[in-house]
Amino acid sequence: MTSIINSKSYIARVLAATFLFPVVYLLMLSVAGSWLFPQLLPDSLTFQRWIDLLTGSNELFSSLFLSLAIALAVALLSTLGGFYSSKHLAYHPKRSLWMRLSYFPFILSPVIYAALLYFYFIRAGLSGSAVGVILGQLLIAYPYSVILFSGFWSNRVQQMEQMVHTLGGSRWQTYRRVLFPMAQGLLLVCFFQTFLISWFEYGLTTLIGVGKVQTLTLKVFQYINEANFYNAALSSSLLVLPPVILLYFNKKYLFKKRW
Amino acid sequence: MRISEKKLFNSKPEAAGILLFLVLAVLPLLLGIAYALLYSLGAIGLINEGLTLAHWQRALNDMEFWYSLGYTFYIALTTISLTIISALSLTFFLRKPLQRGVPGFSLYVPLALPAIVVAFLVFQLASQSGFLARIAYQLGWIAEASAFPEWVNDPYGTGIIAAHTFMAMPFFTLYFINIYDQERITEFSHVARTLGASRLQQIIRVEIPILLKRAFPTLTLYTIFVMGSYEIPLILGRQSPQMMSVLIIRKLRKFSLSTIPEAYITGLVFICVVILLLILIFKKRTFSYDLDH
Repeated sequence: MTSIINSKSYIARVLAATFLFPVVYLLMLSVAGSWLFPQLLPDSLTFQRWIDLLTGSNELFSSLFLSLAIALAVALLSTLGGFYSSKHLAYHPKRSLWMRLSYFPFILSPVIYAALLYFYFIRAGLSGSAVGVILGQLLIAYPYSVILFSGFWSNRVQQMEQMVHTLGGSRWQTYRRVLFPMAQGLLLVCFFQTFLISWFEYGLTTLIGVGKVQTLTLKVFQYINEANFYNAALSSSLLVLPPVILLYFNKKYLFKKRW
Repeated sequence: MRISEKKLFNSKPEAAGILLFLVLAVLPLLLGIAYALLYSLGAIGLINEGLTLAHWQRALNDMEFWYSLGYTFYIALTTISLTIISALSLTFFLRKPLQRGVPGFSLYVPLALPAIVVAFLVFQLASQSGFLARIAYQLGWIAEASAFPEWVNDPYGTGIIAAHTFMAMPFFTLYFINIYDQERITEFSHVARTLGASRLQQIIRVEIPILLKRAFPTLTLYTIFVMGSYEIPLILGRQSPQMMSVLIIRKLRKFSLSTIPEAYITGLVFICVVILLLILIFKKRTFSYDLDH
């Protein structure tokens, strides 16, 4: 019996190493001086790429801030918009229809969705701009937000709202003093999830941004194409950093369906 | 006497909330589908010659389209099958060690990796000059890089399936473990054991059916997600056959304008497949609010 428990925990540790190894490998590749076939470990290590990045002399520096700005904008707009809309959709007699409709844009492949909408983005003069990319990503993140908040609205919440109105509270006070505090946890989960939707996005961004909006994911692809694997590893490490920080603070920020 | 009229919206805030939804979630989809449909029928676009079914005939007679459709299903179904088998195995045999310490934390790590990074990692690890090939070389199993099997950019999509399974397996393991605890499956298994069921019978007759039934909508949604994935097949796939998302973008970006209607037709077929799968989910699961009870 003890040997079975021991072997199970041994297999679990091997599995853990398998899941953790890719992150270690990325970090090692990002500091490798030269690492060619058939060497198992790099010839030498260099921190110059990281130093260049942190001092702003690497072109990835601007991509990092651009990705951050786009992801924060998408997360903020889709969380607030989704929260507001989901309330009215949930209380509407046709709520089942709205709920079903919200799944379509969210589950459709972002790159295929972008291909269908590309013409309209060109006509609106939004292709090739950061605003266009934010709007494009919002079309995916906002329905996700609506779906996520749909579980929040209940008879109990509705009764609380009615009580605040009866006691003379305004609409804004209802949101500020009752709804936002009640939904605080879910609002945070939604914010981080929609941040990650934007942060991880590649296909839609490259199509709507026409390759001009150089987010980190585009940089990773560019470096892979150029066979510059060390810089690809550096930009990949930057992409992995925010979710790993989130994971450290709270696992539930990551464990939600984002696709 | 005033006769009350039935209004579309009860208040201005309600109208604003629902209109926002219609503008951001429904209208773009309808506009996109309408544009693709009109373009595919020759009604609009740079090369339009009036309404015609010629583009549809050409697209549907093109074997590349059918290969792509079949390849997309093959990748998605293989991925989801491997994911179900591996996640169920981990749930049944390693549930307890995977809920604590480093193994418990490590299951969440793949969820922190974007698809493009996973594709890059699989490329780095499984290509003919990758890390696994280096291990094989050091162990004396191969004499040169080209002797290592092609797992990346291969016709069977090995790299693509591996990348997707690496992303999905930890998620579904966590998901199954959650369901296992929520649905009190251990108690059901005890009842089955009391009635004389062996451990294998408990797993096959009780535990697997409960887990798969509860997880069905999520598994179907994930299958759709894999079908529409772009970065992974773009980096780890080959020129032919290509997954539908990659094929659509390739045809859209070609210098020849004649392939654009075919790209839209492929996109429309993909949407039809997604709609059919969603209908299947909606039939199996009621998307009701607490307000409906």
